[in-house]
Amino acid sequence: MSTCTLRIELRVAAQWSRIESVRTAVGLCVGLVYADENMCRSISMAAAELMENAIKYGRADENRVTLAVTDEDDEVVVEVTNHVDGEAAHARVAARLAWIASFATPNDAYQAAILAMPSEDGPVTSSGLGLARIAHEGGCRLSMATRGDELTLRAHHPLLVAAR
Amino acid sequence: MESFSDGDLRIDVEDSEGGVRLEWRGKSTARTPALLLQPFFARVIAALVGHEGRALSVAFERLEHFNSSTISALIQLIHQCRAKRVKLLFTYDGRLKWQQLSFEALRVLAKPDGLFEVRSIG
Repeated sequence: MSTCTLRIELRVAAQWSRIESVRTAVGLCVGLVYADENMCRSISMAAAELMENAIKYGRADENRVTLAVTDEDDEVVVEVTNHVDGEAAHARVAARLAWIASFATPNDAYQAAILAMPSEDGPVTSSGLGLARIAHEGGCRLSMATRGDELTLRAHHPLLVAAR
Repeated sequence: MESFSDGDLRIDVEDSEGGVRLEWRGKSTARTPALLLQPFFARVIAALVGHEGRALSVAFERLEHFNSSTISALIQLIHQCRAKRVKLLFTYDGRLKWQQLSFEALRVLAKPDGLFEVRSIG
């Protein structure tokens, strides 16, 4: 029998201006079920960063991004699904996840990502920090799944408190 | 020097003998924050270059949220200050776990030159 007490599913317009509203909404919903402010913040940050990734790197003709947040047994899972341009995009994400997992701790991965940032002047349009930040600051394990040109990125946050 | 404002983000500027203090308030969620922030940072740094003893202090205690692209813009600020030999201090609210995790990680950019420092307040 499912122990799920939290289930959010949104199909949101793939527009940057929606991300902050989604972050706020996710934080409020998780806070209704779990009285853990740090966990709410981690999960809402992960939702926003995954949405940013989907909008930045998703297919240009993408109209909608699907976001789901559920709890099951011992974790809360934030999941963002969108369409990307082919296998190369899947491979890039897989390589990034493998790179993060190759470090002893998420903090090591995040600090390596910080050190890898270019030091020259000029606007940075793609930082590559987002996923490492979800692992480090958000305390989440990352995973991915693909189906055709669809990409699902998941952030798994350990569930350390009982529902309210 | 004028303060910076964009969407939900406001950065107040306080200029004194000891240097410039920037106080961040609200949320930084722009798609490419560096595009907006870099000209502002450039003006601030220009006001400090060549004035030994004047430092740049950036207070994040009242910041509610920032995205990873904003963190990238801050990393660039650290590099730019170091290149111009401007002393830079980041302060954050140590009672907030997210701020502690976010800002303590930036210590990796501190060097023996002492030009960049991170400090917990509260």
